[in-house]
Amino acid sequence: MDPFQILLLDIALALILSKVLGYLFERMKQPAVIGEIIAGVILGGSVLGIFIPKTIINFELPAFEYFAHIGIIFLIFLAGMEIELDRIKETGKVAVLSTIGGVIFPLILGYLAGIGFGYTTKESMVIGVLLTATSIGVTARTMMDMRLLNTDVGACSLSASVMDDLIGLILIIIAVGTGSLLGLSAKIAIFFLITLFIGLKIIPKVMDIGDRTHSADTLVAFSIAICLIFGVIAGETVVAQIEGALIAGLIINTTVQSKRVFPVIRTIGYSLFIPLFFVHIGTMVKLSVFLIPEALALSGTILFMAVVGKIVGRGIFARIGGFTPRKALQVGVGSVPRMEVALVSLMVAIHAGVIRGAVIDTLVAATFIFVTVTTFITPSLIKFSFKRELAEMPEKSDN
Amino acid sequence: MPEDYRELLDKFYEKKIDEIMEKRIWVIPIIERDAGIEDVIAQVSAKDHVWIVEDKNSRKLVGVITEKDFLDMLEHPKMLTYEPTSKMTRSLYHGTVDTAESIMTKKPIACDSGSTVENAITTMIKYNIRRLAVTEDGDIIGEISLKDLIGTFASIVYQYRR
Repeated sequence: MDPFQILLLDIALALILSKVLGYLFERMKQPAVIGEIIAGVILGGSVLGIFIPKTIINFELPAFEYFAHIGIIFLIFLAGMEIELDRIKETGKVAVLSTIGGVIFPLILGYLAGIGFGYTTKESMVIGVLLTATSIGVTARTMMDMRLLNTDVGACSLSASVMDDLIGLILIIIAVGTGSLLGLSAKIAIFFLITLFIGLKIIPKVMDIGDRTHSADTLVAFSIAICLIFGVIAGETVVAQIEGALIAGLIINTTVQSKRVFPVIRTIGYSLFIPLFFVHIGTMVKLSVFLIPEALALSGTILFMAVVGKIVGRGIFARIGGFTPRKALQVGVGSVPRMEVALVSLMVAIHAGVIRGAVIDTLVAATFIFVTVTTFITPSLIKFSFKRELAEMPEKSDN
Repeated sequence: MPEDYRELLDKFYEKKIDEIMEKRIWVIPIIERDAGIEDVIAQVSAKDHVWIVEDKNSRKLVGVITEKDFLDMLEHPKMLTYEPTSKMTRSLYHGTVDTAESIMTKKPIACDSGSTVENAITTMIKYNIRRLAVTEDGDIIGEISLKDLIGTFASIVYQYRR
């Protein structure tokens, strides 16, 4: 078939299967994302690819990868638009401390795991960064079902997750950047200062111009264009386009028009580009890698570091911040799941050429394992850590 | 030949908000940001919306709760996803709302009393809303609803007929 025909079929199959599996995972009280990634595993070379020739479906088409990369930009752009900076401002000492502990411990443990397995400094640094950012979705939902989200532990978990997402997204630039740490940090600081300064001055004006056309489409088109331009600026300076998308999202969120554009951009993102990104990640998972003992050992080690690093790191620092040991443990447990930012960071590292060749296969497989397992085990871990509180509750929760 | 409303519409569009807005501040539903859920329920069931202000002494407008916000808050737990969204933090069932502030939509759309009906209509269409707060230096001094606008247009039409 003509490559364009193959691309169309790829996209159609990816969208259908990812949404169907996403729905099934939701029914199983798990984030839809896991279903979307598994859709990719099924569609990729390890399962469907064995039976169907690449002349009919081929998820390695560069065009499909471009769609997936736009998906990453949309994902981070939308994340930026959803971040409530007010929430961070209101954050207490415990949340700040537990964020710091929750970033440093997994970062170091991940790095050491990489070095222990003989990976280069850069590759090990990437492994460390992959473990830093929490995915709050499943924690928030589990705590909500137990009516615990509005407690101090819930609030601390929410704001710490917003902060460690931001930190994770910045750390990945350091991991993939070149040059000395000092030079790199200076470059990153300059990038953020300049884009924030220019962005805060220009973006509201561009949005106002878009507004004056009285066309909702124009406003959305302008917003997406702003995001892409900031992405290009970031790509040229700090390598990762996502940083530009993040800044654009954060700034657009401050404009009055954000209310109108957000739902539309969300629909565009989540009905086309973002599922393609998760499917793309899934297609990169080569199941044969799991036959290699070293890859399995690495996956196991990273998974262990991911769980222990967060519980211990966040827990200890929450304790220092003044939480009781029990609450400190609960905050730690709530930070175990990893998902979006870990996957995005992995893709950024691959795209930047920091991870190459066979290492890609191993790390993709290991990441697939640790994101799915950490997400799967979290609800049970949370319920276990809140056992006493649940027993004392006057009414039974729905779980 | 359809009737020509252009002249009437021109008159309508030029009208100042100040002339038609609800100025009687005591009839406008307003509560403080730290008001409890039951106050919100009472206000929204009586008036279909409520403006949220900073505190009793200040009329600084900080949010609005409409029937749509109410609908979000009442959403059945089955409908909630496991993806992080802002909806998560507004659920009566899950006990994540406790004050007016936790339910409200921040940055409510407002206009100033000197602007025109044309302006108000454009804003309502753009944001798909049916009422605007009228503010002065960030303080709420009145409100204007779609109903007020329709009433104004109706009175212009009746005047012309007479």
